[in-house]
Amino acid sequence: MPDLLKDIKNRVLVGPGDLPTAAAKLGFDLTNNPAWWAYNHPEDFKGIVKSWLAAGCDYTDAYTEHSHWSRLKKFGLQDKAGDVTRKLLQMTREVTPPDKYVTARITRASIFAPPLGTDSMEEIIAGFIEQIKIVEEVGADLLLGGVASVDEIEPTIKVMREYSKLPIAMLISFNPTPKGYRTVMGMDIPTATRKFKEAKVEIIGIICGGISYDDTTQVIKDMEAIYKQPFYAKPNAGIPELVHGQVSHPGTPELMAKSAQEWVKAGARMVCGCCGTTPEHIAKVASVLKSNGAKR
Amino acid sequence: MNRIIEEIAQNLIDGKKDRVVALTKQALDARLSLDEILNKGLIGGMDVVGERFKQADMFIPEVLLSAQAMKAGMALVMPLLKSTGFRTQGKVILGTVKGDIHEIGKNLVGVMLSGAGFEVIDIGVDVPAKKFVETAATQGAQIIAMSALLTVTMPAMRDTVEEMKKAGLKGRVKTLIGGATVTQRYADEIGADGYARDAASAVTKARELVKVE
Repeated sequence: MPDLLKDIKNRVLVGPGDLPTAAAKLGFDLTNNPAWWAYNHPEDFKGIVKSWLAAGCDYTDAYTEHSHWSRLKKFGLQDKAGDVTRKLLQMTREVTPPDKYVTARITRASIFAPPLGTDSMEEIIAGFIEQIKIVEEVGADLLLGGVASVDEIEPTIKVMREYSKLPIAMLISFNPTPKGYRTVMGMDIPTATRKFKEAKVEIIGIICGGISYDDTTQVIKDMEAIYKQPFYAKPNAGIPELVHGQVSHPGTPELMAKSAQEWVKAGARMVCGCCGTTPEHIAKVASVLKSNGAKR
Repeated sequence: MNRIIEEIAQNLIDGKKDRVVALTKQALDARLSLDEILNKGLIGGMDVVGERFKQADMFIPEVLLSAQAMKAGMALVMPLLKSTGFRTQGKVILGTVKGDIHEIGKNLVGVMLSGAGFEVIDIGVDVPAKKFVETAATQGAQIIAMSALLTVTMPAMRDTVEEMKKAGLKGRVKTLIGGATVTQRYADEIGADGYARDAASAVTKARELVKVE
């Protein structure tokens, strides 16, 4: 099994798209929890993972962000977090060939610890620890962290380092604002990236958020200017809108593939997609990056 | 403006709940105008917060702290206002739609509507269409105000409008919608009576909707 960190020095890895988008085509209600759906529809979930591989992915993802207890709580399923996390990882590992990588995301729902809210930071971190231990037990190749505020960064990285030997990619969701790109909690690019640099994370990146494909290129450049590390790009396929009552994303496979070339030029070494990203998007990206000689 | 009122507003902007409570008590003890304490102190401060949020000078954590401070100040002022024979502007059933559990925006709208003299019945998050309609009917509400943060949960707003038609409430009870991904165009498409892009606009719109009745 090749070492992911060494591998991305030599080539750009293409990864999967969005689980809820794919699951919706199989009857998943987008207001429910996709991890719980996957737990109860194992063959459908494995089929989705296989579709990413068929599209040309170099790595798959276990979508464990959806099985943190905070995401299961609203459905009364918070005690199932461990079981669901384990099954997601097992199913992903089962269908991913040994020469491809598996990633696992460690993050939580947008809940607030005091004084903003009543949810406990200790319990949030305990949920991370539970999931990281399961990642170590089942096996993966990269931990993906997701944070929105400054005070989350150190505790998240600390438990990742304490409970796992895997390399870490820290990912942020940005939105364009009159004061530049910010997270919903107000954190800006320099603040986030400097903290990642201090913690010496191996990979930095973006995920989801309200940024377009073009915004993604600029954000990569801004983050790389502060901390030049391999970049993980997982943007949405544009801002969703309702068209005839259905959620639709404006980012087409062709647009994503064209933009992916810019992301690679700006420093991206792992390219995949979040909300709205389909196997067609990934196939186009894989094909363009390969034919473009982006060292794949 | 009286110094105490100014300090209420500033401490609310700074999210200092305990100072807002202490200063509001001080203002009440000094028999300052209830209307000034509410509108210039509390709502005045929250209006500044809303504007700064729009300009990305404040973000969710600060806005939440300010909203907590406003709620605490209003808890002192509203009972006194009611005892002076203050007439409510109308009754609003407020909630986040089915499938959506985001509540920050909804809570801000609730706080601002209460401050503007509406009686707000907040029925929480993940509210099915039928519950909006049944609660509006049993409470004799004038407005159903719905919030949705996500594109995927917006269709639930249409469901509520349809339920209102079935219940014969459409036209008698107004619908007001808002949320990060909601637009005037969507409001028009589903037949909602009003759309507000933020909490302050929600107050303006709510006032218009009850006048039209």
